[in-house]
Amino acid sequence: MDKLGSKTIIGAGASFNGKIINARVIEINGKMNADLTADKVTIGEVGHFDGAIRADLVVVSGHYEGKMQAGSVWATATASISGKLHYETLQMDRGAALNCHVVHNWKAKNTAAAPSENDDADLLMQATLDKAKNVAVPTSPEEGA
Amino acid sequence: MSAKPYEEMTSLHEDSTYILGDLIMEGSLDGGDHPVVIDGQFKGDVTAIDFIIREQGRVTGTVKAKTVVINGQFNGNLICESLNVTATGIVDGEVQANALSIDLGAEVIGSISRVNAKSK
Repeated sequence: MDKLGSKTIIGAGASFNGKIINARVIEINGKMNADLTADKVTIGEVGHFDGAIRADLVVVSGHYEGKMQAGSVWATATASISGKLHYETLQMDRGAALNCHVVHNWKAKNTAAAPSENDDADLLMQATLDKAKNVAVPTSPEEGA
Repeated sequence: MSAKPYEEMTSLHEDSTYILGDLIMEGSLDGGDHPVVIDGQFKGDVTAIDFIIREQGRVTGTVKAKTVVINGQFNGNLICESLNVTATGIVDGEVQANALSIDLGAEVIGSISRVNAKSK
């Protein structure tokens, strides 16, 4: 039993609605409709996740929909992701289906952002996008030229 | 009737649901056909066939299950066919069970009654 350590598993056939915070390692093989903060998240092949994820590492083999903010994302061949994906490093296997808004380096530091920092990340992202389009952006000090 | 041996209920099962570690979970959980094992903090409703609260587990809310083993803490309403509160178990609330065993050392506070006749 203790082989499991502190890994939380949502079994196949199980379903959960709600909020999970402070999870270390979590594996999802069931249906989740949740708001999740964790270190490492695995969505198994039969897993379905709907909702926000904030994690250092996310491995997706199943279905994900929502806003994900992760340090590293690995979408395996059976993955299907829709929604918004904020990442620092992304690996995608042949066959993975990404149908989402993808943003790289949404935040320079601290991969597992607190929820209250979402707006900052969005602003930063918008500024970067505007700059990329050569649109004149009203200069602000934190843009760093 | 007797409850399944604890070891059998908690033996590693690939499809079981395990809530382990320091995490805090809030919401409603349906374990499907497989056991649900809780060793973290859970607030909300649980529906399952076999439901186990391990020593570090703390559950607040409503639980509906067939067999329940409590080694940890439970607060709230519990409806089940058979309940075992082990020596480390703490139960506070309203319990409805048809088969009940409370080990020496367990703390049980609240009301205990049978499940309504229709299920028997």
